[in-house]
Amino acid sequence: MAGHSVVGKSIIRLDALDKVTGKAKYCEDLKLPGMLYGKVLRSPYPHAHITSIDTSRAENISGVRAVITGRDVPEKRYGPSVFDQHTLARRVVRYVGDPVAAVAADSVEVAERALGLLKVEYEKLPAIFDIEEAWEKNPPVIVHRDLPKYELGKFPPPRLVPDRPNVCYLRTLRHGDVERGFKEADLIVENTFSTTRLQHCPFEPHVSIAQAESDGSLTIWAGRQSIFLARQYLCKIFNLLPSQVRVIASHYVGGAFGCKVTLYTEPIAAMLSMKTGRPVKLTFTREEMFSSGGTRIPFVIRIRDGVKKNGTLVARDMEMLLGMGAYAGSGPLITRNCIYATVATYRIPDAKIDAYAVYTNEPPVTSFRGFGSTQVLWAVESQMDVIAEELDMDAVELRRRNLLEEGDTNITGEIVHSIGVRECLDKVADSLEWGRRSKKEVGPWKRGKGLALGNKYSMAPTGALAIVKVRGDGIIEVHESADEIGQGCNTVLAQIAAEEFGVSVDEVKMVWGDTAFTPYFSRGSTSQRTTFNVGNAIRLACQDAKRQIFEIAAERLHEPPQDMDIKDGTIYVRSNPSQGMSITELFTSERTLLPGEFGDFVEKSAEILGKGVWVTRPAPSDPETAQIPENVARMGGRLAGFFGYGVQGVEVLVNTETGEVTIEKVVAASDVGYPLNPKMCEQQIEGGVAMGIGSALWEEVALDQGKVLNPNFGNYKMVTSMNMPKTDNVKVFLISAPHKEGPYGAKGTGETQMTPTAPAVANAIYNAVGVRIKDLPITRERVFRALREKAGE
Amino acid sequence: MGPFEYFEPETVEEALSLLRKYSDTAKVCAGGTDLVVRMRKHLVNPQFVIGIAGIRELDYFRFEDDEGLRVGCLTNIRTIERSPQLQERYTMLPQVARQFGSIAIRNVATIGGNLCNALPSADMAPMLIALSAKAKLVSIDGERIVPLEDFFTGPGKTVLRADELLVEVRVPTPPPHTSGVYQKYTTRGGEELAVVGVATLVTWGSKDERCTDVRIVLGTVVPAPMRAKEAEAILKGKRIDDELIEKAAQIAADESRPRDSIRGSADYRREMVRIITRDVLRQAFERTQSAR
Amino acid sequence: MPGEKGIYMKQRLELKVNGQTYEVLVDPWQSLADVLREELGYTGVKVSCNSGNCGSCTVLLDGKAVKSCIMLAPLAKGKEILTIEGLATESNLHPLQEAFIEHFAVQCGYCTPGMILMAKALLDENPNATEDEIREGLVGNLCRCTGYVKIVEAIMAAKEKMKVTSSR
Repeated sequence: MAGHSVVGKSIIRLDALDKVTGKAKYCEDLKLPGMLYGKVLRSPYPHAHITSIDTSRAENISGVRAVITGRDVPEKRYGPSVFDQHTLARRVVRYVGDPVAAVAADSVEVAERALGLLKVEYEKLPAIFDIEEAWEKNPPVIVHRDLPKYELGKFPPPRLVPDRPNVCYLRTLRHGDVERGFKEADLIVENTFSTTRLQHCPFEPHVSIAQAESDGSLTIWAGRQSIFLARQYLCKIFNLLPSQVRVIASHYVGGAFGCKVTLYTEPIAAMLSMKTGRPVKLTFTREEMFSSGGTRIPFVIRIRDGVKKNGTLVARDMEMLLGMGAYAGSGPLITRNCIYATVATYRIPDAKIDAYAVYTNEPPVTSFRGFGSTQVLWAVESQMDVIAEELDMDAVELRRRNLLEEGDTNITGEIVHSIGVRECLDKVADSLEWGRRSKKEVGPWKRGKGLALGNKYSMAPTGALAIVKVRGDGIIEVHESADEIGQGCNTVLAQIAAEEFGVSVDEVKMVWGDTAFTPYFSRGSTSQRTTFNVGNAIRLACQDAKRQIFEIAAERLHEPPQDMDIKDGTIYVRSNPSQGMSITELFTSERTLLPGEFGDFVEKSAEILGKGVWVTRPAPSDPETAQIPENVARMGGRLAGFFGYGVQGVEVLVNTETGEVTIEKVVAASDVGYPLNPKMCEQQIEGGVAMGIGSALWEEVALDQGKVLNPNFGNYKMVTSMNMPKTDNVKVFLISAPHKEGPYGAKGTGETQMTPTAPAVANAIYNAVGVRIKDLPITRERVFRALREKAGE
Repeated sequence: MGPFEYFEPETVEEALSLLRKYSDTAKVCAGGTDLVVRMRKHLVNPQFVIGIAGIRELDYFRFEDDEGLRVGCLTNIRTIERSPQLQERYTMLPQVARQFGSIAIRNVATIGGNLCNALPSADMAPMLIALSAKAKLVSIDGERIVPLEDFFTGPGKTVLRADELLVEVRVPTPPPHTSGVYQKYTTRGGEELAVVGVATLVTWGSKDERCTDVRIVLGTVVPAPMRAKEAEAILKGKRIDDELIEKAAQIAADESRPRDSIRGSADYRREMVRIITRDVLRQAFERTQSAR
Repeated sequence: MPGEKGIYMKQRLELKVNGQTYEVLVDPWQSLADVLREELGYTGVKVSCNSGNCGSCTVLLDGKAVKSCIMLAPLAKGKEILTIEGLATESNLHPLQEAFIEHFAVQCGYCTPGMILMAKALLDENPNATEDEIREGLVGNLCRCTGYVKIVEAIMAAKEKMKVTSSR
């Protein structure tokens, strides 16, 4: 965009220098004087009564400072939406890995040894693992018998299904009349797809240090996302006021991808600190990350589509079962939001969606990059190719015919704004040479191309505040509470402040991550919301600071403040640019007023403090139909902050003898609204592609009777450097469909780019060898079996 | 991990007397790349760990004209991979080494450690068995030489006694016109344990085009690395064509005993044994023929 | 489980890290990564998988890359240990560090120290490494954020810079 000097440029990341020199500090690197180390004893059974716990032997080891069990934890349950969880299990354990007791000791080794001496007796209960079975009206096992009596949170508004006792939330969408739609259809296509559990595998595991303060308040240093959400949950658990809980994440966080929005270590560390009075650090082992650190929700998706011969979608009916595992966590919110993936891209006159959140005795799930959209799009975008095949129509053409356009009404009644999906699709089809078949095939290796459309909303409501401090040194100090989880938010946010003040990012200092000192950001850096919301808050804060600066300068320069502007630290008069003064000159040296060495201050206000508040509000929608009232939609009422769009195309080689798949080429186009830092947009996109490829082909938390079989990086297979296409064959295009409310038109892009990868890969495999895999991951063995089955036909 | 007491003997004798003293309460640690992981998971909980990395006399390889190659147990896998001499005289060993872990693992992992840990997926074992290698095991009482083919008795199990140390691997010089190929098959491609590992060693007669000797050794899909002798038998002494190779591969697959695991079902793995065996045989035959 | 003497003695260990010699008392079951981080404060050594799979803990011993989370500390005795903290000189970043910054090869930063040191070992050994050789050489160093594209690009760029520097 013309006229910008800092945004829109690939400014070097502010954190890069510290990270390449090893100076960057993470929570896992922190140590406090007198600090103890916590360890957690976990249930070996998927469902059992705890009949007794004997802690005496563990307590007697030298170096053990505290042992806590379910008896020590508050009776009141907590949770983000369904209050179904205790910090430590009190009477019942519901998954393999459920925390049962915890120890604080002088060292990790001593704590570990103490765990081995805790004696817990269980009475095993029957357990349930199958999502569809658990969803039934008379399931053999009910995971939470007292669910109807549990307290329920407000977001999302609770909705139980009384005759399905393992369902803790139901989301429904009704648009038009789906049966009428199917009657009009020339072809009806019905399929069932499924996705599996993934682990986020942030390289820094869950970790926190808790200090119970002597006044009853609590200080937590945590490697996490969403410090204010953590504060809210901790207040609920310990019955404290927000001012009594301070959560600090002003360090770097070693990756998150969604799982660090949930509380895992914090309440246990806090209780151990309350018992000992000393700071307690609790770090998850990699094994605990897999068993108890949250996984992506497995979905079973039944999708039924009606289409006309010409490819027009006329009806869609989806029924989705989401496996929560033993505790709902953010699952109900994901159940509520996952339907937006269906809403975002295509025109569908008649639609019906039911999504159920279902308990099982498997490990609890949590938010994962994509927040349900990824799983829904696995089904939708695979299904689009199936439809194209059945209609004998080109898959790109089928999609083009059904795309929503700016100003269209989607299936929630929202009027579509900022939709760059068509341009993304054109770009990918072009770059992939869609329709042209590559010849290079050797032996059993067959080549194919596939693509898929992706999208991801950014959740609303979101409230973000920013404070901008301007001092005599001319540095613009920005206080905000985005989480520096690896995405580099501070760099982009600094660019925004620098742009507003007409300075370089070197003149901007970022201060972040402390609920006691940095301003509110409702759910933190989740839902690709930081740039949009905090970015806007910073713009407003800068404008507020500039207004004050101009007012002070106006008095000195005897010109009206509205004629002032600022560039390179100099305030000048627009009508007479030679007339001006530096920011520094606004400040009076205290020495001129008082003897002695003091800092500089502005006589009127000591420091200039600009404040910006940004709130993204969702439109109200009907709880049963998910429809936004027409008058609200017409006034611009929206489902979410914005939709990011991304299209990916891949070229694969498939070995018809072994089922092996290699990714030869990836083309990704992403509608980011406006790329504030193009290289950093590419980072998110390439990372999303890699995670998408992993999720497509290998990644799966394998369970047997609820126990994780592969809780390590050896057997949980993420993408390695060998599995990505050559660097020349990873092509990224940034598309700009500016958002009217985005800072400089920008939207977020952290999540969007994981949403289309898996179906694009599946579509390419079909194109190569003619087998349709409907369950993730598409392992070599699955492809092999499908090929065998096809050959046997 | 731990607690345990740690010893650092500087000579083989010292190590042997510690082994005699602590026997099965002790574990020998060479590079530790397997052992440390297993101790951390508490799969093994030794009271004593005997760290032998300081016994420099065990880090060597040399060629003895009458008996071929001798490799000290502390020789790391990276050394085997990078040695120009091995590249020339035992090409198949660097070829195996390159498929072992990643560079940072190969820099530390030793040949002795890989054999003694006796994982069914251990990469070094199949080719060494194919080469008729022997292990020299010593204790305070003396030494014995055991063919590697008889060394492994099951997953994690060998004939090594608690007071013995594997100090050397002896690899006879392969006959002329011999080539060997090892290939591991995994679920992803990357640094990972084998799902199927097959080594083959093929020798051609000097006069006619018959295969005078052949070894096919399976790893991972058997409790302990094992020769597929029936498959070998149908190739030995024959003129080799693709049809025969396909047949031998099928027989090798039938001889394998894979189990269902998270890395693949038994059926699938057996089928992969067929494909990998076929591929390594083809490659080995092509190599010997092009060398002739 | 008591040891032979009923107690476990910490062992005195001399380590040479980034040119500095340290004498530390360690428990024999401490990994090299643990000693470097917890005893000596080299927190640039990151531990992520703690099972030798991810390479975040990679350090160089006498110039050779090793995974310090699965190495007992005594094995580093008598060797020159290089951690990420010792790579830059007082006035200059190493070309790999510069390239990682300039090519946006850094995201969360947890894999970065190990990745850079592995790349150094690769390029020191093979100054003309091709893209394929670099990708194969990095296979034991996982990254969850980047997709490796910019990492490989950075290493390729550093390779050229290092050639120029060494030919001077």
